[in-house]
Amino acid sequence: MADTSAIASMEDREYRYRLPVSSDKESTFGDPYFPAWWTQSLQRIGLLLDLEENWDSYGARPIDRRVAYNAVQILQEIAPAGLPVPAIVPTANGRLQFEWHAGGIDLEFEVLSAVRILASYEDAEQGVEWEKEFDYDLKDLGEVLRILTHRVHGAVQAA
Amino acid sequence: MSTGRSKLHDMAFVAYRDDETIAGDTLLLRRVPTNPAINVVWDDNLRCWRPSSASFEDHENGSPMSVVLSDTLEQLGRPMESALSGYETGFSLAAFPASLARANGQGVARDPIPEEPAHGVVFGKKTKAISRRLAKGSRWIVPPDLPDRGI
Repeated sequence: MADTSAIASMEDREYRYRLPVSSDKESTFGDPYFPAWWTQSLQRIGLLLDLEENWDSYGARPIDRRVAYNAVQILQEIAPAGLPVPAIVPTANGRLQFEWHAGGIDLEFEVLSAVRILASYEDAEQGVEWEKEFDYDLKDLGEVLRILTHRVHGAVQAA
Repeated sequence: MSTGRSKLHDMAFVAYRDDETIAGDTLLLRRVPTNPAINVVWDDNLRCWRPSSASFEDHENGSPMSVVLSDTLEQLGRPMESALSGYETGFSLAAFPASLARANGQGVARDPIPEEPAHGVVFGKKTKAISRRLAKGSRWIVPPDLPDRGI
């Protein structure tokens, strides 16, 4: 009987990269039409899905695939044009956290489920700091992503 | 497989008290998976690689964050790098002072376990902002091997 494990593995990997793509971005993976944050985020999440139990040496769980799917979907929903590439890190409970630390801003959000996000925002320039949980209404989170994007691109242009 | 916590931790409602014998300048050591760069981030505000706040959270079962106490290591005649024993491949070592934990509403307690007599815990509610302050206030004892600038 043929060994199908390699094929299964390839299909598995293909599944990972078939994370959500909105209709207006219908194209093949790797197309230059995709923004940098999108392609790099998918690559990063693909790697993090390989983490095994206890990857942090303190008993962390592997990343939940549904959480990864939800995370990308949510980011796609709220990302403004030109969004800087996020750092994506796993959390001990098997979730994903997106982070930006630039332009005097620290922004982190963890995707708890398809409709729950815990976000922490700190803007040293404006003296603003908050931490809150979002559900369906992601307007405020989208707004701080726009501020971050504007701030980072402004700093690059000024340099 | 050691996950750096005692069986006591796995029992619910373990009460800890801040241990005053742990001086404010005692360093609290945390292993950070950095090879590959799993829990390390480029902080453009600080212009350095640092641990993510995700490295400074409680255990996934709710028990408090494990650390290794530098004062106990010193008493045992062990270098701080020995906190990475058994995890030399793939991990870096970050440290922050006990005073920083306390300034952020955390308590610090000794909790020796068979595989690590210098084991301790940092207990208290950890918001993302608190975890981030611990991460930003850390320094590398064993730094990751990463490029000078973020990508």
